[in-house]
Amino acid sequence: MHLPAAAGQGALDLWQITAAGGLDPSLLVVIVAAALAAVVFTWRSLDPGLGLARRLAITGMRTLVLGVALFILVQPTLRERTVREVQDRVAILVDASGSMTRGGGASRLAAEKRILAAAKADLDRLGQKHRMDWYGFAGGLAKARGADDIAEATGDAGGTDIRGALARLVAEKAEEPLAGVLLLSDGADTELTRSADGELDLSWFKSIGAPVNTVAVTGSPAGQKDLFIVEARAAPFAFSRSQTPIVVTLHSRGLADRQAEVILSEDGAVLQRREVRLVGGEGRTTFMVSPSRLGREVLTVSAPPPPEDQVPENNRAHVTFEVLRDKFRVLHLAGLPSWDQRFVRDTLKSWPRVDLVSFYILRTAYQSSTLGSAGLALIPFPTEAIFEEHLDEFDVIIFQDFEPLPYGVDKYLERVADFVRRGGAVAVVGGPRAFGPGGAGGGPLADVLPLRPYPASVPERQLSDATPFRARLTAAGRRHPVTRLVSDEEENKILWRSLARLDGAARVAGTASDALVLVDHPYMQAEDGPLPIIAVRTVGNGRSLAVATDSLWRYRFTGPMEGGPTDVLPSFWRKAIAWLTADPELERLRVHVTPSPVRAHGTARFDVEMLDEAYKPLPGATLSATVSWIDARDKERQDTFDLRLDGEGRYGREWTPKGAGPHRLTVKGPGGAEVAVRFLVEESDKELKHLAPDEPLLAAIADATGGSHSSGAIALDDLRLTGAARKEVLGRRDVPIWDHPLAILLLVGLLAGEWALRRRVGLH
Amino acid sequence: MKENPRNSDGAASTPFSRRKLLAGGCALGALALLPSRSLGVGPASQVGVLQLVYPGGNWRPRPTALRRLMWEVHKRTAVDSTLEPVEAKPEIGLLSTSPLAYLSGDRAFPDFEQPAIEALRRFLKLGGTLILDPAFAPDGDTGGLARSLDRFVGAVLPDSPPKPVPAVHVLYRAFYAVERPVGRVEGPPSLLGCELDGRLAVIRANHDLGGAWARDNMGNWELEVVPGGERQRENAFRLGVNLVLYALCQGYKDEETHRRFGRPATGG
Repeated sequence: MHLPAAAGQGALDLWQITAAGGLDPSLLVVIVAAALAAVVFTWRSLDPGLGLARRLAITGMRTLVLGVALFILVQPTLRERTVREVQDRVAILVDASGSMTRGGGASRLAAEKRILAAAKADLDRLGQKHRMDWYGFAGGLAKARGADDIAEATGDAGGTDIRGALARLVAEKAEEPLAGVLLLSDGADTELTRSADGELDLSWFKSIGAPVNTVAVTGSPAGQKDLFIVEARAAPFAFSRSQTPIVVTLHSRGLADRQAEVILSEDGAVLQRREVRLVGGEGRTTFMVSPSRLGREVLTVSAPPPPEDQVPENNRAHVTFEVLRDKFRVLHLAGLPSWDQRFVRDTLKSWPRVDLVSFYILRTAYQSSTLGSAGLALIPFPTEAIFEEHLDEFDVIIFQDFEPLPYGVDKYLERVADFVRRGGAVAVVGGPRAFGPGGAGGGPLADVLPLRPYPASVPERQLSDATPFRARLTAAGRRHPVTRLVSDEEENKILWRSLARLDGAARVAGTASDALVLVDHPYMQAEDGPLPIIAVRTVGNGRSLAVATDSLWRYRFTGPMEGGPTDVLPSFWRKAIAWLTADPELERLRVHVTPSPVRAHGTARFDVEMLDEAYKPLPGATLSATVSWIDARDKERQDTFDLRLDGEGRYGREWTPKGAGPHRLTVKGPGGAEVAVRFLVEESDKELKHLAPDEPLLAAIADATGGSHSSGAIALDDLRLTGAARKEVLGRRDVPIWDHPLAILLLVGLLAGEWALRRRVGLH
Repeated sequence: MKENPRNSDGAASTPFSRRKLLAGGCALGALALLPSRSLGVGPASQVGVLQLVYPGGNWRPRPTALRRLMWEVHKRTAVDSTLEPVEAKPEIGLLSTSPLAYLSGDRAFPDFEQPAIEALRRFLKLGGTLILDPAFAPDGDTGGLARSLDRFVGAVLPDSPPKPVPAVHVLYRAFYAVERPVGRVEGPPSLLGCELDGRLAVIRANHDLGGAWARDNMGNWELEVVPGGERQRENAFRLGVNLVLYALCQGYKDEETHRRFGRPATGG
């Protein structure tokens, strides 16, 4: 029961009787039924001879007793409530994003304001029923005083986020009922993502709980002329020397179907060009690239703007991906079949990361010229094909006991040396056949190898020593990744001491000045120290390895036969191949830039780590770093700073980009170590790629939320709003009406009256 | 034949004799005819073959066969090989010296002791290759040799039973293009092989290859080939060369690059 009462300003007082006894309704029904049963029982238990009047009097008294007892039990209370009518609100969201002013042609923002001005009277009328909340939105949401306040309210060109604006709107005044939303926009949202088949997931919009009425503001399409790159997409990872696609999607608006040129470039250098036919305003092309450099790649795709293009800034896009090595491509040239060749081959063939091409001299040049070729299953050694056509396809070339002259390889050794200086790798393995006067280790290759062979005048018998010996790990070899077969330095030392004896060694004059000897002979001497057995060297951009014995196979067969470990030789060659190919995991200077890509207005994190030539950390070393990029005016910019490594040889810092697009971080360390890492800073102006209006999106949002959609005007009559007004309780007061001594006295009096009446008629 | 006494290295030594002296002289003379080659680090770097010595039976029915084969390998291929086989009991220390072993016989032999079986199994699993070349008597396997070999192979590689080596296997193209295996006898159309990790670890020829290879120190063939002809003997040598080259180069001739780069000719 509601009783109108006096109300304060904007508020009403309501009265209501309630039960304060807290009795469960079902229990109350049971009690009332029991009371009625008691009344009936009382009536029936009275002797009809008492007369009707007495029976009625006694039963009436009993009924009154039970009634008063029930009254006390139920505890009736008078409740006074002060309530207020809460007015619902209608939110008007006005798109003020970059696309509203930069979409080409007449400004959509001006059109938007014209639409609002034309509907002013209707909106004022709507404001009499609902509270009108005005907002401007772009990448964010800003409260506005009215239609004229919108541009000043946002001024945000960092994208268009319709969903985000609605989410903030709902969350901002969750306690105030939302009757509906009126959304004016071009629909050029920058944040909504589509599924692989182009579908939008609009389920979130249904959860708003209020209809979103959308008004499309598309301006004058005829005046908008724009050719732009919608997207340049590549897989996040690519394999070196393997082709990977870069798919470029172009759109045009207001331009006739045409042929557009698309250019793929890196650091300003054009890599490829494509002609794309734009049909119906859309075109697509695919560039196939075969990256050779490991690490992060950043490429630029651009479409030269036609003269009538009103937004030339959106004709360029960047794409970044990580280049990994799928396989090490190894060329294994052996001068003769031998056990050493056999077990190197076994190791490389059994390693899935190696793509092995091998050529073994099965028959000497002398045999070929004197013994005929009947019945042979051999092929000629393809010298020209390998060294003239395919040399650069390999990561590592292994010359094992190989003598170049008889097979015409000698004239290509200078080319192989150049291949190493340019970033390739070579290993020369074996005895006097490798390091003697005719071996691959002499001649032009000697300039890039770690070992210095003896001159041709030295007698052949002095070129090797056939005394079995146990190879000795040097101080550098204990830490170098090639000979670090187990991670613990002490265990590694013990392991090398336990290995099988080798059959002998090739004797060489000494070591190149910048080479590193990892394993040497325990007592034989070269001119400049102990006879080197395994040595490495970095030459230009490449690397080289020398193994001055032809019996490392003992580590794979003889040693394991006698109970030694079986994986020493495979482990050695795997590490050697990884080091020779500058596998990033084995680099001395390591530079990481995260995240990729770096967010617009975000920061990049640079992490640098440097080890010395023996792979020990370089604490306290000072390195120099340069970040370079091209600014918006096409001028090269640089930011240079020094970095000092900490006690563990590491350095880390945050860096704030000053522009968008491809960047390069170059770090230079002691000993000529240098690493360049590319990274991409995202374009801060998301609007550039989302200038085209998207009216279907607006219609779909309206449909999903139960709102209406119109184009170019506000149709107030079609506007859908919910009756969301409600009453808000401001205060409450309970007045108990049972809690009085009279109620008890009445109950006692009635009991006493009934008792007296019963006595009077002779009942006990 | 009596077992030879052994020296401290485990290799068999034979008593000095005029016949040995003559053989040595012939071998030196033959070496002088070889093309000049620069050498490896030392003799241990050369490719040698172990001739397995076992008790009972006859472990060396064709005493000159392996020397003659290795001479042909040396003469025809780039392999830097030792001419004399190393006689070796199937023991860890002896088997660890070379990954190529040869076992022959002309009569039944007792089962190998368990340590010998385990040593041979380890030898094969670590990459060794074992060639079985039974020298059956002219009237066939009257001595139960085949059953001894079956038991031997079953004990060493119980999980890799011998199977015919198909005609397309790289073994038949390892150096020569061999259409069909033949030895002193024409024998079955294919070799038998036991595979380990994708390679033939045990290769068995039931063609008496050693009988075709055997040549005395005066240059005379020791046995006639059946059905006959020098072409058959030459093919037996070609198969022997292929066996050695397969042990060294494995599937090298099967590589795709050989089809891409080459055409049948001479070279590698």
